[in-house]
Amino acid sequence: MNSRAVLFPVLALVLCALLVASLLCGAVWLRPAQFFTADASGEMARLILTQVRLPRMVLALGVGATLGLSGAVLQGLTRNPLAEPGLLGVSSGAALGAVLAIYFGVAGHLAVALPLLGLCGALVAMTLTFTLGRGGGTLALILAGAAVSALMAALVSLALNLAPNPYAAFELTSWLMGSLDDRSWNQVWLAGPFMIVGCALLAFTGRALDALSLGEVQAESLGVDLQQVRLLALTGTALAVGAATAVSGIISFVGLVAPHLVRPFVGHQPGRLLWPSALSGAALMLLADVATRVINLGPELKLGVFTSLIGTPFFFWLVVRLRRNAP
Amino acid sequence: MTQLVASGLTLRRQGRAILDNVSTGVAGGEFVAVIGANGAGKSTLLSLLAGLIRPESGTVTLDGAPLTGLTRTGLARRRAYLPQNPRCEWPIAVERLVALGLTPVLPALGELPEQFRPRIDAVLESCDLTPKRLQAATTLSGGELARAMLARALVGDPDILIVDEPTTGLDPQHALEAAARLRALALAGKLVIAAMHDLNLVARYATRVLALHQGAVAGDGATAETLTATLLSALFQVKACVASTPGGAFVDYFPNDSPM
Repeated sequence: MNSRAVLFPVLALVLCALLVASLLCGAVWLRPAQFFTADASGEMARLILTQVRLPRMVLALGVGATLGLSGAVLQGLTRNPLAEPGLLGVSSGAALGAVLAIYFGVAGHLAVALPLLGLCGALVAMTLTFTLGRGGGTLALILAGAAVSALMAALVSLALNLAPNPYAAFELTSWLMGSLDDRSWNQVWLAGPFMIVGCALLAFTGRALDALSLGEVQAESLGVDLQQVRLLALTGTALAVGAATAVSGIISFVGLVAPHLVRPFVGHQPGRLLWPSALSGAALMLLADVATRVINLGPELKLGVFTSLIGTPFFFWLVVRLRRNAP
Repeated sequence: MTQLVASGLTLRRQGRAILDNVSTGVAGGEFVAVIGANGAGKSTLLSLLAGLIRPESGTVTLDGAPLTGLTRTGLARRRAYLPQNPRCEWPIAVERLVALGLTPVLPALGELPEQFRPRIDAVLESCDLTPKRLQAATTLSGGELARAMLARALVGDPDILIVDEPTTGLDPQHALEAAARLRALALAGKLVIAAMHDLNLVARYATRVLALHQGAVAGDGATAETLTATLLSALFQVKACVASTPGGAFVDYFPNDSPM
């Protein structure tokens, strides 16, 4: 099976092209030659590059990789191709934290308060999910995640409902739609460490996910500690996706679609899917981010809205394929 | 030689005893068939012997050391376990499925190390799976999947093989073949424990029979002496006869009210 050997160079090439595009395109189109001119326009180009485009690119890369990796882990853990990072209530927890930061005006005084509270929200949601679903197997974990997710979403709606003025409500909804606009190195330094630690935890689930293709009983007979794997997957997702959601808002479908794009190239083996899925998630995210900057509809096209728009047809495709493969 | 000893195993669920004070000692070289009616506790006993669940009271020891004292991977290296109707959830290639049996000896990260290739090739060959090695496991026939799962269990070269109903759902040819394979493994020195319903296969291939009736041991010993019409009548509430034929022992049974 050499398809995996081809996959990595192809993904790397696509990623590099997207990274360059992400640095050059936007409201101001940059040309590489500009960075080397000594006049004021060169100064401006360098400033845009290092203070606007670069942090945005790094965030897109990190958020996309995080969503792709955690989607692959959760699909492997639940053996369900529809699982996605929001499954365990982590993203809605992060959204609630961020919404509270906006609602109580903390975000206005201190910029890092928003991602910080978002991260706290994700950790609270994770603790709730794990406490609720402990000891009941993977199904209990999913149900607990759905319950926590619903609770967090209800509280977000409550905040929208009680928003003191239309402007606050608008600010809340536009944050919820997900975007990488106006992000700076602050967000990178804040979310980066959590994403890295979270992804490292997720990476260690690979072997267990492989064994889980044989079902939970056989996995246990092969020496897999299921409780430990669930904890790793949940903690890793909470840290990585929590941090990602806290800086970018809710980005749907990337975590669901990324694993499917590369699964056939790794022989459908869940453990070998992890890094390719992270790369394809990063590529999808960069692509979407570039697209929102290139497509001009007047108001800013929100990243989360765009991924939902292009992600939904993928759902249709999944259904069609399922119908075709059904006996 | 591998020694697996169970003493006083008792397990209750909702007040009902699934297993009641079960004791036995089995060793490498034996093909032990666990027989009994549905709900007699066969699967539970296999799970306990495999160390997958813990008894309420009683102990299982492997070469004198309690199973509970072994690490998960330590135990996984010494015994393989196959549940009823094992399935594969993703369309993984057969050789990759078989390699999953090496999970307890693999490093935590990275691709499959090259040194394991020969073992996988050998076990694929011995289970007649070489032509199927790149086929997706989800597209295999029942008999092929059963062989693939057996190969998965054997690739780690375990001392103990515990299989829950290895012949159920297989056609006569594949069922005979599966039973013969298990017997050959036992003759090669492994301890094979299998829950089985096909009594003719038990009579011809198992070296030892462990009979369970309502969670308690109803018979335990060499197949020829233990598998008797009296035992089968008590176990299954049927009229049974055990005859010896040129092809090996032969078991048949009839309803209790039949005129035979």
